[in-house]
Amino acid sequence: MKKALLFLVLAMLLSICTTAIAADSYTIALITMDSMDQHWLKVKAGAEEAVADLVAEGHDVKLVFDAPSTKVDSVVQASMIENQITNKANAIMVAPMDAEALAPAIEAVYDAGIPMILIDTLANTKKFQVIYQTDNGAAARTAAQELGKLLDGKGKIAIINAQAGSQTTMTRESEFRDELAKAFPDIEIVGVQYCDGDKQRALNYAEDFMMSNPDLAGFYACNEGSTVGTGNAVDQAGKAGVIKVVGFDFSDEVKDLVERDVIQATMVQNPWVMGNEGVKAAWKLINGEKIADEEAFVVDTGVTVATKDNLKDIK
Amino acid sequence: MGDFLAELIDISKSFPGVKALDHVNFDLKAGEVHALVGENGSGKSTLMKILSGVYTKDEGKIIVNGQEVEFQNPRQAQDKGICIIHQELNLCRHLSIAENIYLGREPNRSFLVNQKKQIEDARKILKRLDVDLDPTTRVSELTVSKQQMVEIGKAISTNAKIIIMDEPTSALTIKEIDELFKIIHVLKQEGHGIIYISHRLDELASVADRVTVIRDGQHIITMDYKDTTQENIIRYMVGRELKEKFPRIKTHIGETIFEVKNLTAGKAVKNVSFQVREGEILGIAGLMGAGRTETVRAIFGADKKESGKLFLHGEEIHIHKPVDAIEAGVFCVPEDRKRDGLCISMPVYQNATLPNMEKVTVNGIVNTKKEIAIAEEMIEELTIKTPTVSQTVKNLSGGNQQKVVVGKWLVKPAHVILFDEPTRGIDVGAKVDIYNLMNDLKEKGIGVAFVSSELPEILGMADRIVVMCEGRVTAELDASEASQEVIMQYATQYM
Amino acid sequence: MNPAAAKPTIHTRKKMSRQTRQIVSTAGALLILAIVFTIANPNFISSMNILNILKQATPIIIIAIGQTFVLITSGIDLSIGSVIACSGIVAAICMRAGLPVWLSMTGGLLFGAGVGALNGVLIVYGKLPAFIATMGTMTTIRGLALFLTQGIPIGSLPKTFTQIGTQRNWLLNVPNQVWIMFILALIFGFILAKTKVGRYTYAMGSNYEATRLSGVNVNRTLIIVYTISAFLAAWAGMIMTANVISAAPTAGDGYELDAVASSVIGGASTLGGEGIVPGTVLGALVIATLRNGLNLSGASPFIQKMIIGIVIIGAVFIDRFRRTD
Repeated sequence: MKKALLFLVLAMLLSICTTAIAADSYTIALITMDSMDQHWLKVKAGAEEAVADLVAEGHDVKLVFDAPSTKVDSVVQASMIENQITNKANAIMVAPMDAEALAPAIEAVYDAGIPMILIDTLANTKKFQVIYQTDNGAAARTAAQELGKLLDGKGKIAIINAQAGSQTTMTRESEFRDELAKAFPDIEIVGVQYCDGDKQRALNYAEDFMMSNPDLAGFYACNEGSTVGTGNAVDQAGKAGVIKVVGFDFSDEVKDLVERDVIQATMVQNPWVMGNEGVKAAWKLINGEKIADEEAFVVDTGVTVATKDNLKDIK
Repeated sequence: MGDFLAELIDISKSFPGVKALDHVNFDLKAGEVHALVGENGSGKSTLMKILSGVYTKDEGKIIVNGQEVEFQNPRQAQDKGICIIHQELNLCRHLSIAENIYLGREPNRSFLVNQKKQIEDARKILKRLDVDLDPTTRVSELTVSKQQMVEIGKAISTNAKIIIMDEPTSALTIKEIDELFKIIHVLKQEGHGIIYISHRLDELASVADRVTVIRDGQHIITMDYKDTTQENIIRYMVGRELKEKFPRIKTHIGETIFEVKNLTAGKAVKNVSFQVREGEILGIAGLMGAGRTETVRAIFGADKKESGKLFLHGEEIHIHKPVDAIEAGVFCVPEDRKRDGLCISMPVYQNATLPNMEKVTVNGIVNTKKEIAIAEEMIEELTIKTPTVSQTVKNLSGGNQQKVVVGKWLVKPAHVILFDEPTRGIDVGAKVDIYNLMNDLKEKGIGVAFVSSELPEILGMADRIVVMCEGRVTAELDASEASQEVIMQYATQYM
Repeated sequence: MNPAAAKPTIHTRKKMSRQTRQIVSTAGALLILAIVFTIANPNFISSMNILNILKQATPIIIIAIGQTFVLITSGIDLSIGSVIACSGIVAAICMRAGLPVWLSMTGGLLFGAGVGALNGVLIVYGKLPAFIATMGTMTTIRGLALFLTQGIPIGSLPKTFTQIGTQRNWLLNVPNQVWIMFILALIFGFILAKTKVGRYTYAMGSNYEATRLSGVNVNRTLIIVYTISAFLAAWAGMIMTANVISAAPTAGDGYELDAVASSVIGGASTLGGEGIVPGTVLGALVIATLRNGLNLSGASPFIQKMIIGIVIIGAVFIDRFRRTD
């Protein structure tokens, strides 16, 4: 009983701490999928800089950031959104972790007349003003073009993907395949493996592909973990530069591998732009301006192709 | 006596490399109790498992109610009215008596269980057995003997004509056994046939009509009980004459070795005091639940003590956990060897050395040769029947398992050994071996105390008897002044 | 009734102990797989690929040895995957802070052992079921890994460290990590088979109460067992970090179940009392060979998962079947 009471008090203290911030005249809420991943930290950084710009212009604006502690529960994220409605946030930016489960919460924001901006991922609803996202399909097509050029349009390649159940990574695979088939029909895809983002597994799979196809010419890896694992496998096999690798996402490790010419190109998303543009859009909507004529407007924040040459400029 | 309810003709059954049953015959008439006896490993359980459909026979015929049958599984045997009541009861402890009796066969009214009818039917069955129980009582609230009666009720509610009772009295007190026999009598009157398996040959006098002896998988003899004697049965069972059931020896009684003073532990042990002297065996008698096992466990440090002192050769010793007792030379042979005494899936030699690892290790590394030597010595000394010391204990008979439990303590220098029900569920030959072993210890000047629910054993082996009731010592008797009546009187003092 | 006691001759005829039979049958399965995969793709049997399989199996073998200890006591250690990640991170942080490689690795390994000891204490003194206690630490340690790194993998590790993974050794051209695995397997195989701790581990799994009543310090033994499991997981963490030159907070997710599967294929029982290190090593090799071989023969990754699942069930089923004779 005593313990239960203690927990209750702690929980109340915590919630007071988090809600006390909402006392400013204008509040923009940003709710991402989790608070740990580098991707979301960049979204947050972009949003913070946009808010800082607004404050510098003399506006009284505050950013409230919230996210589930790990990528587990869409219910938790939904309740975070509902909390922001209750707190009367002036605009809400959400990166929904489940398109289906979060649709009702997103519609509730829209129905309450609060500007609703989606970040990174779509939800199963049309009730929002604008979304800033990477067009994964377009990025995958770019990757196909890059790899095709590196291989002069011929040879065998293998794909190391992350999760077989995820919409995002599956789009990166299917659009890549389609584009490759169209633009470089002489390139053969010998297989695909799903490493669940685990670098060791990606490494093992890449080794196996190199073993079964001694004439393998290239790899396409679909996220950060796959890219690092694949890069290291190629490096350790002594095939750096011989087998071309085009990856996805960016980190210190990816950067290191690009520098050493193990990875020739990687698709870098622009999460910073998503957060930055999202806040700018929120401010426009708060002030009654329109983003576009239609609702549910899609903005592709694009990808940057990081290579050894432009590595310095990548944020 | 009517026709045969069941006949087993020329039954043979082999397990890989072993012929467990060799052309055995057995039959059962309506309205009789047919006792099936034999040492552990003789084949009697295998025979009953064949009759109840657990095993399939290799050869022979099973005839039930005049029809030849083939059982592939226990369900088919049940459908033919054959029901087995095991040593370990198979009841759902959280359900009521009525629910247990009708488990899986609930009287329906559309989808819902007809509670009222179920309770009424159960009440009728309990009445038929002349048992005074409320059918809505939860089984977990019943004593073992009452639970057994529920099992019997369940059996007759399925119209079972053939009831096999496997060691039904092993966990019962004398009073409860009497009640069970009354029920058996009722069943006989109703025309049921009962196959009665027991190690307690003295019980057969009050219950058996016929006796069949099986030895080494072979049918030895079937006889009317009234034409035979216990000694006769034992002779057939072991194939040799036993000089004495209880080989008591006389030695000089010396100093007190071990003393328990005002021991209180949990709810079951209240202010218990007794002494164990050199050159005598102390028997601890009482009913189930009298706190005897709890006393032994508390002394050994298996359970916590609230208060009380222990003295070894006059010096106080402190035992908080089993290690302390073992270091002091106070050992315990537990009541339930499979639960508390043996690592059943490990070989004999590893069980033997488990408490003696310091003898066979150097810097924590085990010397298996030494272990095997120790175990082989033990096997020889205690006449443990096992092909090799590497045999898993699981494959030994109950008596030989018990000898391993005892033997693992004999590797160390002992001061006191506490035996808890040392002969429960083991055959006559092994019992005598255990008694002789207790005598050896007594002669060597090691303190021996044993708990037993079998009064003949207490009277036959103990030189002095402590009687317990409701967690207290109610009497301390010299063997010469003790009798079943006197012990029972003290054992029920607070009841 | 015990047929065995009745006729002793049969047991002298069966010379092979159960352990030997387990090793022979698992090795046999491995051989059959090798033959089938070689037919499917001759590259399979190349020395290069055999080294690949050994390398790929290394982390799983190491953690499966620890899991075998735990399974024998009839427990389970779910925290292995998180310990892999977090011990790698601890070592990486130490290295980035400029500590020498050997000291950083010691730090990571000690961290792992500490988590294991904590598991043991929670189980022994907190009286928590092993499943719950290690599930709790699994989540907590994964959280710690994310917190320490703020979700960002730590890269740029010193070359002397990454060499423990991939550098090929003067001995037979085998990568260092395989030698490390080999040495750990020898040490812990010896501990399990030949020492007091090993014997007590089996005894507790066979019958905890009887072991306690035989005067064995069961509490200490259990803590040692869980410490061994997490210590080995930390070794796997070192090797995996060195392999990909990156200490990722998400590394090792789900590896605990691979460890259970390897142990079980190698003859361990989740009911306790059974399991041997050589069996477990072979069990892990069966899984690694299966994955590698299916990859090489170009099987769909989805079908691979199905096959591996069926093999796990099949292996245990055959084992059960064999034991009931």
